[in-house]
Amino acid sequence: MSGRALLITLAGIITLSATVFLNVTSSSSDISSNADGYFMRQTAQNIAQSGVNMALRQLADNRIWRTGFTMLDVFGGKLTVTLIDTFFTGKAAVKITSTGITNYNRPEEKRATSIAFAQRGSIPPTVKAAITTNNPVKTLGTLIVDGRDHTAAGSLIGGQGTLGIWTTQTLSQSGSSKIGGTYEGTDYAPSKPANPNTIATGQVWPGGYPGTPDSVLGGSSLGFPEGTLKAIAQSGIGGSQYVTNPSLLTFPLQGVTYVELPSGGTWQSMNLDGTGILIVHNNWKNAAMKNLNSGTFTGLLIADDVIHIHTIIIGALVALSPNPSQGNCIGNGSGQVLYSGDAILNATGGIGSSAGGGNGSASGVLAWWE
Amino acid sequence: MHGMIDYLGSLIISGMVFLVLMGFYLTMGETAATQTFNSGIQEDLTSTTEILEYDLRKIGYRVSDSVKVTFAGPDKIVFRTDIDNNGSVDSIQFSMVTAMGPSGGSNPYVVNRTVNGVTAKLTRMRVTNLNFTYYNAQGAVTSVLKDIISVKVSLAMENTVAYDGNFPKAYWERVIKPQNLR
Repeated sequence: MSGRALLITLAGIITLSATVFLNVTSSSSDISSNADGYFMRQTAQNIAQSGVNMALRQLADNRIWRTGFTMLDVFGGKLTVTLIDTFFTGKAAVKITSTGITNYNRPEEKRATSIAFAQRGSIPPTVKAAITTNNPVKTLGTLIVDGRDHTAAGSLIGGQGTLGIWTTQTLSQSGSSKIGGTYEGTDYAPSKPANPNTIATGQVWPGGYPGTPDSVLGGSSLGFPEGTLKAIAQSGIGGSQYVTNPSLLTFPLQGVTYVELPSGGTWQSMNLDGTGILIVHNNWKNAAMKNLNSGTFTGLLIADDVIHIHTIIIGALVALSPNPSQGNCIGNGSGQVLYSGDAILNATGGIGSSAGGGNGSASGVLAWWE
Repeated sequence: MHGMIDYLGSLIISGMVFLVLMGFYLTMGETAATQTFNSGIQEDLTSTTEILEYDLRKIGYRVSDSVKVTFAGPDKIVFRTDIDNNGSVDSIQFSMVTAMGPSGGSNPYVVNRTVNGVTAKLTRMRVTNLNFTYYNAQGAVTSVLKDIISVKVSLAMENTVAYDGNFPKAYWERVIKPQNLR
């Protein structure tokens, strides 16, 4: 074969080889690119999901946290989380928007966004004191009613509490019972007689004192139309319970516990160990809790009639009945009612979620978009 | 004489080189064709699974009652979610159905996505298997709709065009745990 022919042959071989290799490489690159793109999208999704979980954890520790995260390094990518207060399906919520980014600022950048709506706890406007009632109140024994703010564990937080007792009618402080609270930023330790700044009697509730548990939490305007709390209790969300016989309750209480007694019914001598919202109510507003003897309840207690508190309630108590049938003595032993904004926020912030303690994988999450 | 030997030697060697090159090109050509078909089926699989995952992750979003999956079959799932986040709950269905038109390959099926009664074909290539398995909170297989916490999806596809008598295939499997079911 002449040299020229050989050269031509070689050139042809090189050209053909290059074309074939290019074809193969292109297909391989496409396949690799698909796989890589899928992986990066999944990683961005994982980063976004992690951002929501991190924000939920922050909110669990501090319900007023709204700082978020900006371009945080997570899993080899970037994370940005923002929080805003909003409403979701009529309920007060915190909208958490989490964006995960991989290959940031490069042509192959992938982004994914997850959004969660966490129920925003609130202190109902009906909670005007550690004990809020619509009937004459009598305190005896060594009952302590302290409207100063406390942590959910019962530790005192100075300067941000509320009244000790607020009632539309009268207050009789007897025995060695003590009442205290916070007024205009000044704390008043429980004392007998109570400092006048820590009690309010003969009060008038504009529009009428709330007569149902849902109206205590604000009614329809705040996402609690009549029947909501009962429905939540019946659903069993987050440990919620609905009973007509309190002996069937399981302890510790959690979520929304709704005890609906027959007319004139009384729940006697109970252990109150638990958290959340405890409701003892019926349509006649004459369901009574008598001799709250043991266990510490942390949260919001809403009852038609409460008689003889001998244990510890951290949060607040709202009584509904204007005419308690079994007397007005709210405590004659060694009980304590310690106001706690934290306990009330925890109780109201964790309700309204679906199965498993959350419409999402966290308690108090109303919905999760991923 | 010497010239003859040289010519014969060149002929033999060039022949061998030619055969090697031909074999090489045939192999590379087959590889290129296979890669092209694989790339095509992979693209179809990726786009189909992206839609499947996107929708399944949102099962139960904005659905207030306890039944968010309304039908749980081995090759069909129907669930409720507000897929376009406009405040109204939609009904979405994924199912494997018989493909219309000319058939070929081992199984003439496609995956359909139906949103509020409007159906669209998801796959360009041929689907050989779409399977849903449903699990409860304990990780056990369940058929009770209200107990479903997670869904395992497996999807197998093959190219509609065969190469050398074989249809290139691809397979994908994933367990999806929608946040709104937990």
